[in-house]
Amino acid sequence: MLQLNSINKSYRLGQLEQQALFDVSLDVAEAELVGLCGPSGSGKSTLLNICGLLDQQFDGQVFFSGEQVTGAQQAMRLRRSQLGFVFQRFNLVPVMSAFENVEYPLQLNRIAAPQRKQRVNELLEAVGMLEHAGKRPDRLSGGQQQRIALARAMVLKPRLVIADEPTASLDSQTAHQVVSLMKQLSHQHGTSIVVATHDDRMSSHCDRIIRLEDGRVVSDKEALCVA
Amino acid sequence: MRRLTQAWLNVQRNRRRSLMSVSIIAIAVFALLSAGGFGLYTYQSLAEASARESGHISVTMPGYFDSEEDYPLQNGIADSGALIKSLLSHQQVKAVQPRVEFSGLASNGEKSAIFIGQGVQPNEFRQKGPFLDVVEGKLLDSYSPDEAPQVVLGKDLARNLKMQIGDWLTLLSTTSEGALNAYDFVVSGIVSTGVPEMDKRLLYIDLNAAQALLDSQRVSVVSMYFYDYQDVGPMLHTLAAPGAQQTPSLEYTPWWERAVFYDAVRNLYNRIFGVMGAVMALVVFVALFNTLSMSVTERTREIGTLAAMGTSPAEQLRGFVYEALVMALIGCVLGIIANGALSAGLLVADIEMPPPPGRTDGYALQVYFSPMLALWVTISIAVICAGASAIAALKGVRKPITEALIYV
Ligand SMILES: Nc1ncnc2c1ncn2[C@@H]1O[C@H](COP(=O)(O)OP(=O)(O)OP(=O)(O)O)[C@@H](O)[C@H]1O
Ligand SMILES: [Mg+2]
Repeated sequence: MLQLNSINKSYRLGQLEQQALFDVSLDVAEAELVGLCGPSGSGKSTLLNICGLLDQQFDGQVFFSGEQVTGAQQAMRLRRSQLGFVFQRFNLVPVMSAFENVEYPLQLNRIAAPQRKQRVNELLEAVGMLEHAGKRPDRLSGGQQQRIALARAMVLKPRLVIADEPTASLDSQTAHQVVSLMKQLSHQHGTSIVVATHDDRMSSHCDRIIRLEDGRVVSDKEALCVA
Repeated sequence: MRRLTQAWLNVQRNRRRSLMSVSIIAIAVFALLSAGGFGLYTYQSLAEASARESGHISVTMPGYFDSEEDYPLQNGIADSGALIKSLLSHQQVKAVQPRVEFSGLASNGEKSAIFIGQGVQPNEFRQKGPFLDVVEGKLLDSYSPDEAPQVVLGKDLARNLKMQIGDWLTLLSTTSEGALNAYDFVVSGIVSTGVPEMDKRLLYIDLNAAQALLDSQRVSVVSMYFYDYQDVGPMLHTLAAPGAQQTPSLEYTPWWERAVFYDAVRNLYNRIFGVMGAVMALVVFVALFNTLSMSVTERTREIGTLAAMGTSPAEQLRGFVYEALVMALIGCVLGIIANGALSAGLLVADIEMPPPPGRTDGYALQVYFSPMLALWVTISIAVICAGASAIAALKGVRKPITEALIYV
């Protein structure tokens, strides 16, 4: 589904060049829930940005559904139609209601209004937020916002969802709900998810755990990750 | 529609800042419209005054205004009666007035002064309305050969010659044959034109009396007056058309070619308003650029989020432009309302402006409300705001997504 071939990535800080990823290769299968763990600064976010086609400044190759991603335009088109994103701090658009936030990716893809409405309602229902559809994000709790964000990421039935520390801003009970929800939706739609996390409870839901240290993959297995 | 709603909501995110921008736009619009409205009022007043002085179209023999005559009425129109009749046949024409322009010496027996005379039909005063300020006495009565001919004097000329109503005054002039001629006139009125230079020299007598004094049947000018000054241009065209040419050929001069003062004021005002407009445009641009720059910076993470989801930079720019346009629209509406209120208020308040240079009388301060001007100002402001917001937003939407997303 997603394939990374020997990725090297470095950041330039003034004169200094700091390498954040060393020769990372990765294959994400259809409907797989992959956890990325590792200490702070190990390169999780850097790798996620590349997986999410947000960053084109690296050495190596990225294939999305067999198509090599080379340009910013192509990446934008793929992100718009095939990818979903969940952020640590929800990143809902404050001037849009919950409904409109979830609807936004459908609008971007020019889906007709009746289908949009139906699809949004399905997703709001699935994340248990139907009754809050008209509310703006500032009137929702963190857990509720993240559920809306999850609905937004899933509304297009994307092939891949990228989630960077989606539970880090939530209390443990809410975090647990959100994670279960993610897993459930992923299985329903056959969506692959790559999630970066420090969180053991999160990791315990993953099909597969990749552990990064200092920009290198140190383990890749279907087991618990101990951070 | 949703875009506008969201733009409106975005405008409300930082109310104090948006209010500031809207106020600046409103003040700029108000200032521009008020200055422009005052200009339009002044132009129209001057245009009316100029047209009243010389008529909307002056009909003369060719070259009358450019060349000096060797003797009085050398370049005059001989058969003015037929000409007047044919000009009056156009239904747009309200009145046609023949006039003799001449000069000479006015004497009270002890002292003389140079005058510039106008021989007019007495009904011209009634037809033109209150363009003269009658200081004393009254304007010319209808001429009858049996009675003493009357003269109306400019107020400084009257003072110079110590003339009172009812006094006798001798006017000396050269006839068209080159002989010296003199007639006695009784002073019927003393007037002020508002221009001291004119009041020192000007006098009016009846057209027939003037023709008798100059011993000629010609007139200098035939002035045409229109119901609607919009008709002047087309009529000029009609009259000058080859088929319509009279024999001998005549010259048709519209009022604006003779209104030197009007042109000078208009040029000056247009230049002042041009500079003012440029300054206002700059102020609005800077204000909007500043406001939008702050908004863009504050919303960096939001921009990054939308970009991550595949929103194009152009689409994001559009959002900010809409936001600026919402503010522009509100500001313009407020400015236009304020201008309308000022315009209406001045009609009631009756504030007197000091006299313009070379005049003795002030005039009422008025500001026209011009929908056309309001439309143009609104469009210009909208363009400026859109431009400022686009430039401000460009920086934000160009930021790499990964950087925008971690912006705090
Ligand atoms: N924009 C940037 N400019 C310069 N260096 C960066 C930038 N982003 C990350 N880095 C560096 O790259 C390395 C990897 O950072 P990254 O954010 O990927 O780690 P992470 O595993 O996500 O850490 P955390 O758990 O704290 O989120 C770190 O050394 C970091 O300092
Ligand atoms: Mg990180």
